[in-house]
Amino acid sequence: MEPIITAHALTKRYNGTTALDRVDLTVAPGEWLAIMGPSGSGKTTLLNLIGCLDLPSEGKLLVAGTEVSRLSGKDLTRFRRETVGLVFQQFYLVPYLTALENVMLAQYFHSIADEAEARQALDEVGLGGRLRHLPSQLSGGEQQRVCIARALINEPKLVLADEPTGNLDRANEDLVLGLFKRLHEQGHTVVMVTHDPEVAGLAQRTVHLDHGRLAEAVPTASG
Amino acid sequence: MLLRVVLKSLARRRLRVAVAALAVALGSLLVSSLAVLSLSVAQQARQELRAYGANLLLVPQSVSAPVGLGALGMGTVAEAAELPPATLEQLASSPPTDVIAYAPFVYGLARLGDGSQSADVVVSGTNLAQAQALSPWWQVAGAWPATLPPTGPRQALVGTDISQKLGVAIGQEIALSGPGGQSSWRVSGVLSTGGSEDSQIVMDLAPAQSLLGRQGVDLVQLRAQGRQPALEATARGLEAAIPGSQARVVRQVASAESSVVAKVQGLMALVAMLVLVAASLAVFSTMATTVLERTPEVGLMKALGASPNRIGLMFTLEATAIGAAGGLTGFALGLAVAQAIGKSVFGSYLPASLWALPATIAVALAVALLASLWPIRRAVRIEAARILRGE
Repeated sequence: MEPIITAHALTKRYNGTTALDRVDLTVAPGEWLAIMGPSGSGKTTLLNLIGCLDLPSEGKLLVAGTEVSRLSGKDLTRFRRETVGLVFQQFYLVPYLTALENVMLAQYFHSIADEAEARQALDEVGLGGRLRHLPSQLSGGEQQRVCIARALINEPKLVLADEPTGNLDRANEDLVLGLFKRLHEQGHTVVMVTHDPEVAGLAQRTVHLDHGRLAEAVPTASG
Repeated sequence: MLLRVVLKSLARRRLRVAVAALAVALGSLLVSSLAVLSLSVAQQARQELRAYGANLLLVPQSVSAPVGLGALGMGTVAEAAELPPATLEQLASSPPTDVIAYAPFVYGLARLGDGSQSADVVVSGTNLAQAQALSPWWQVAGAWPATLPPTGPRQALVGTDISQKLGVAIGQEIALSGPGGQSSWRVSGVLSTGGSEDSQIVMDLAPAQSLLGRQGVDLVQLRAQGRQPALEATARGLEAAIPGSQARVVRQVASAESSVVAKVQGLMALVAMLVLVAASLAVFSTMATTVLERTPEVGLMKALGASPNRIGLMFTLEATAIGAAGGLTGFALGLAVAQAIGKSVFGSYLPASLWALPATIAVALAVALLASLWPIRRAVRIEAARILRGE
């Protein structure tokens, strides 16, 4: 089966500093890949490139069969909203919109806001009773679950998560990781950046980045 | 959905938005009140300036003929003429539509008093009621002459200079002798105009004509509506309607009107412009702060797939809401302020003009949108990746 992600000699430089240095990587459809590495190793940079939030300085990147490294800004935006679901560490939510509206916002940017669908997505992450709550009225775990519902609402081919449990307590971490497990079981491709070996242990494969270079690929227990 | 986001965003920052809208409202208030005032002031000023008297003079066409002997030309002689009584009848029966007020005048020399105490004075006869309407600044100490006094001699006004120089007082009986005969007059009041009338004895037209032995009048002063070109047209119309007459525009008064009104409007426009610049700065500050504060939010929206156009539209709608709210509030307040000023300065409420509302809203929107251009441009250029990296 053709890989969903193919990176070849992927390089990203910021103001002369190389954040990512000739990375080669392939991810199969339905695979759960964990990216580990110390701070500043280029994990988030790699995730941003795969998520079409940024363009590589050099190299080639194919996502879902499209060479995204050649896309213009406008096409990149369209490709991102149709292909990628993003979950961040800091549960980025629009503070003045309710949980339901935050999910509907992703629908609106994708195509048309559908309240019933958004309601169902929140129901699936266990927030059916918190639809009208503002982010400030939700716990960290609940906010992250809203982010997961929002990432999945447009049925993306690829779910990218940057330290999704980094700011959560143990109970909420288990809850959120349970959702990712379910996503993976449903056939979603998940690429997750994490510091936590325990979290990485849930992935099928882990790659390590160090100073922008891919160090090794380790198949995990679950893989 | 976008509208919901915009409304909730505005509601969340309601205090700051209210301050920006208030700044626009203050600008709009001035624009709308100045617009109403400017128009009305122009009208009112013209009315006030009408108090400066006639802007047209109707005089007899001078009759001139060449004088010479054979081929030797010796120039021309002009015969003094007068406007015949028919002129006044014609003006009274079919006055030109543009003419607001007019008064006929006849002038002549008469002898005041007799013997060694006598002096030559200029007698001016006019329709006193019409002259009063044409020149409302004429001041009379005492009383205006009664048209037909119940008893005693006819009444006349004595110019303030004559009153002082010749010691003529109110209530005094004076004798005047002119080409038409001699008659006695009672001084009903002392006239002060600041003009040539201060050195004249002013009386009703018919007795003056009788005293001076005249049938017609020397000139008719008229006050007509309109600016210079309209006045010229009225003048030509008068000449055509009244044969043997010549109409002249009194240029100083006509151009003073235009100049005063233009200056008032220019000053008002300058004040309005300065206030609008201040309002623009307030909106700019609000929008720039908003964009700065909402940078992570914009980054998130872009990460979720929002196009630059949608981000631009979102902030444009917010700026439009600020402009519209400020414009509407400013218009309502401006109208009230204009009316208050109109009442206190001109003593009457000013007419509301139809274009003031759309013009005020348009100005408010233009201020809000122009002031938001740079912040919106900045918002559109926010890069999702940089924000998510925490930069």
